[in-house]
Amino acid sequence: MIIFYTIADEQAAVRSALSRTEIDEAVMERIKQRDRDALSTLYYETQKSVFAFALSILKNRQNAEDILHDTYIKIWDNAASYKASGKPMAWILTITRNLSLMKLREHRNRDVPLDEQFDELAAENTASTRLDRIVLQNAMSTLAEDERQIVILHALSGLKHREIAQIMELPTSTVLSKYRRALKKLEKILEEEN
Amino acid sequence: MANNIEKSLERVFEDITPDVMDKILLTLDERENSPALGEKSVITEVTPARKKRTAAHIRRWTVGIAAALLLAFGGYFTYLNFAVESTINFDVNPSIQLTVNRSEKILSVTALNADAEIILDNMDLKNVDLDVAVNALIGSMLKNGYLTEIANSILISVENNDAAKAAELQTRLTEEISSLLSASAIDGSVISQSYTGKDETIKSLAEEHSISYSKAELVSKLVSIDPTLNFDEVASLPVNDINLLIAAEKTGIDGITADGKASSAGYIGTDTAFDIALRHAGVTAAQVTGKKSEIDYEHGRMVYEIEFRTANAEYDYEIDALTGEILDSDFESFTKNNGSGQPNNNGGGKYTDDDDDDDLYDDYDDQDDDQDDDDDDHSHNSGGHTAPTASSFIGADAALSIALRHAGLSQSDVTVTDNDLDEDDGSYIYEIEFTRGEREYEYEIDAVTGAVLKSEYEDD
Repeated sequence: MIIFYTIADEQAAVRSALSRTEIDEAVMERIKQRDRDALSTLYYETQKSVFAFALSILKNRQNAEDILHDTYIKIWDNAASYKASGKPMAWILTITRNLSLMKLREHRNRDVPLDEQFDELAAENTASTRLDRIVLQNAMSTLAEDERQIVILHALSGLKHREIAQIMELPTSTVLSKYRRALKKLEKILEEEN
Repeated sequence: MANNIEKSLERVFEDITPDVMDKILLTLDERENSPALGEKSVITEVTPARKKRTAAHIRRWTVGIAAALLLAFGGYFTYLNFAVESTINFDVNPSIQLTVNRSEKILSVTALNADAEIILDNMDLKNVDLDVAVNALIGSMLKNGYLTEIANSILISVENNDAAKAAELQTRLTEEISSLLSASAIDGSVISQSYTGKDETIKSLAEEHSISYSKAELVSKLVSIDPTLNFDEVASLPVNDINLLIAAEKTGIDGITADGKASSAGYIGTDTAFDIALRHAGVTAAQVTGKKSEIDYEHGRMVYEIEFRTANAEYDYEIDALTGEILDSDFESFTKNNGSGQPNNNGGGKYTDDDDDDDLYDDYDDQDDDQDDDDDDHSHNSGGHTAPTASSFIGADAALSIALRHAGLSQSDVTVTDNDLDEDDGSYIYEIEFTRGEREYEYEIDAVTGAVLKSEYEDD
């Protein structure tokens, strides 16, 4: 299926160009020098990946939003210790993971049920269809923890399996097999839904 | 099919990701405007006018002074001898806490873990001079093998409300211990920090992990400066490894001074690790155009992260620092004007070499760079080309054949895990992934020309 879409404003054009490619090391450098515009640029390039990953761990939109905010504060605070590696996304998402895991511990004694219904969002959202949201709903409710995080990381962040493995602290082969299994599960459910 | 699911997810998050940039900027503003945590503003009060004095008043006053002096003297005596002036912690593996009074005599010695009990073994250090006690403790650690050439790091933590005194103690003890160690032919590394001992978070972390407050303080400082490390992993490492990790950080850590170099002699060394990587890759030292190595903590152990480049590929290795086992490896070839001999001429312009510098961290994919340059003009389809129709694509099967041929494999050799047409700002590519045993291959094939845009494989 071929998809055409027009891009309304400049920022979106830049965003889509960078959607799955490497983030400019220069942006990281400018953040080190306390350039807030650079932080803003980085934010808009990466917010979806960070939010999605946090949500895949926390399963709660408010908590994920808190972590979204905290991640960029932490990036700002720790920019000096970022070592130019060509993989800023991996560094950023490791921060997101650590913050999310810490937040999970706060709720350790409380069971956090899946309290969101993603397939019942307001109709005004334009980019995704109801079917898309059903995919997310299923991902959140039927996949195992690791499977969900891996699928979402792979879908949103543009990271390779090996890089995902590093962030998740799993062997690459494990990530590969969990990924395949997760996709199979989702495909099966979607076929049944249709 | 896989791609459709992922595209669905992308679209949903496009909708539901909240924009918190304003909140972030607000937080940054708030931090800059209010004082840092822990600082209190000091208000001095000016005492009101003096009272007039009468003779009786003066007499009363004199008696008062005499009594006060007596009390003060008595109190001072107590203060000199029995009040805890400083608390000093030593952490290596053993964890020992000393309290000293103002004259620097030992008031108490406490073993905080089992290793420390071995060290203290019937030593009575009460009322001994601090310097003498330190001598005895270090001697015992050396004798019992806790401080050796391979594990030469010790953490000194000083708690004293007087910051200047704490700093002075730190410096002095660092010097003393360094010379004690070199007298035993050990090139020691002494890390020192001062702390308040009152942080509840640190207290509970220390209890949770069965480590001393001072070690928890050190770990928490390291973890806050390097968000890729987490507290649980680092807390169980000996001070020597923590020292290595601190040294690997690009910036120093506030409140911690490290003297000397942490011993990495217990590990195989970056040179050996590098050799292991080269041998695995089948590359000779002469072919290497740039390299980098670093010690880090991953997969639950200390590893060397080795990266090197040759003329047309980049290699990444993670090697167990203790055993030399290869934990992970990655290989990426740079295809510039690619194997099929044809430069690309659809969407986005020609694919050319960007930089010729040997900068180790040059862009991974020169082709993407060209795309970005074109997009800087903010035109969606640069060059004004019309989007190709499906019939001008080579097809998924042909793309797969091209990828397999490039890898030198046949379809029966591999398991294909992904073969999808992807669109990236006007240009269309096939993203192909297949595995053979432990090795995963990834290819990007131009959908119109069949050129191999990107090829890589990773072993596990």
